[in-house]
Amino acid sequence: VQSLEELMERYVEGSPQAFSELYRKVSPNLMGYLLRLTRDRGRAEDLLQVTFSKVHRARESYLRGAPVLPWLFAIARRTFLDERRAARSRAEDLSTDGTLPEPKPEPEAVSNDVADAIERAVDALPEAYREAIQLTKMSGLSIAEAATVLGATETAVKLRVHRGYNLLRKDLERFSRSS
Amino acid sequence: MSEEDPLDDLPWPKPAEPSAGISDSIRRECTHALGHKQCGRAHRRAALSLLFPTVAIGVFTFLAILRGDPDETLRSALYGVAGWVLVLVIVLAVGLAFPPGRRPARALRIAAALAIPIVFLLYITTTAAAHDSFASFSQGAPAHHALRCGLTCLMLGAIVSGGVLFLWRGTDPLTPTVSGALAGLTGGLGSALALGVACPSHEAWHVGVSHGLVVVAMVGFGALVGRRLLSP
Repeated sequence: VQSLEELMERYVEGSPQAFSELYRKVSPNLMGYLLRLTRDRGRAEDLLQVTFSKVHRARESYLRGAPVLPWLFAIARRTFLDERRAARSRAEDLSTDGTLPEPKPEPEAVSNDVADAIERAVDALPEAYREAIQLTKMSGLSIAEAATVLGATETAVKLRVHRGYNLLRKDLERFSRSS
Repeated sequence: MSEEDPLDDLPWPKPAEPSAGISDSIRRECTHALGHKQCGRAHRRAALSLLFPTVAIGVFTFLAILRGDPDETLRSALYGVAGWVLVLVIVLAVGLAFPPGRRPARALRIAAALAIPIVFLLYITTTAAAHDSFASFSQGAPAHHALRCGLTCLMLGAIVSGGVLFLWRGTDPLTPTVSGALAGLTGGLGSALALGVACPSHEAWHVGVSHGLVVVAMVGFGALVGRRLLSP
């Protein structure tokens, strides 16, 4: 079984099979991560495509030995942040009749399923805690890998995850009492 | 995560598969015209990065020799250059010679990018041969010379930093700003050392403003440009 780093190196050297294997291994985690960032499947797929497009263009810049998972997640995160910034700068776009467009209503949470409750509780967390939990619990990165992606120390990420857990626990206790 | 993780038993969302259409499209794009390339190595690029300031220092030393500067002045300037080039080698070895994700802690690299220009500034101003007042530095011929020298140093710094940044383009999605600042430091320090050898003035205000501040400016320039250029 080849590591992600070995697959990346073979991909850089021109192996399409290595890319397919790399894609098979990392795309579900990346897609899940982008889906939770955007909460929109279409946008998440667009961002996934842009992310891999950047990876393809930058493959020659990949330095041997760099851990691939944090490398890919950092590119995906940057892609999301750039897209969000661009979307905000487009927010002043007027509709055809010259009025400001109506904001789209937030989808209502109707399900009482525990998994949905977790998703909602994570969404409600402060951004720093949410990102730390999304990367570790939901995308399967280690604390060290998440720290690398977020540009923080391992201790800081552990602290964010811990504080996020405490908030999540309170939220989920409320959910279990109400249901 | 630790075994006693209190939320481990929760049904965390599973990874999500992208749709088949998107996956096919990505596979097509990313396997199209794959040429044979070699993976870059961080330590080789770090060694190449050293080439830019070394060439700049070499050229300006040659100019100083051509101009016939006194041997003693040139020799003492080159001793200083040798010491700071050693610092530069350590900065490159610690800050950039490992692949992203395996580099030392970000805080340490930020500390290096911030502290070294300040230490350099203090060094060149305290070891300057002459200490005039600010009033005499800021007018007449000294002011013109400082402006000319500062602009030359700034341009040389931008060229050297630009070369180093270009060498590292697209290599660091994790800490592009910090890596950019270190690339800027390499260029700025190279440029200040090169000008330091060739410049006839050894007055504290002159070397501080026209040479030392350029290093600070190049660290900022590198951080700004690196943020975009070093991220894939």
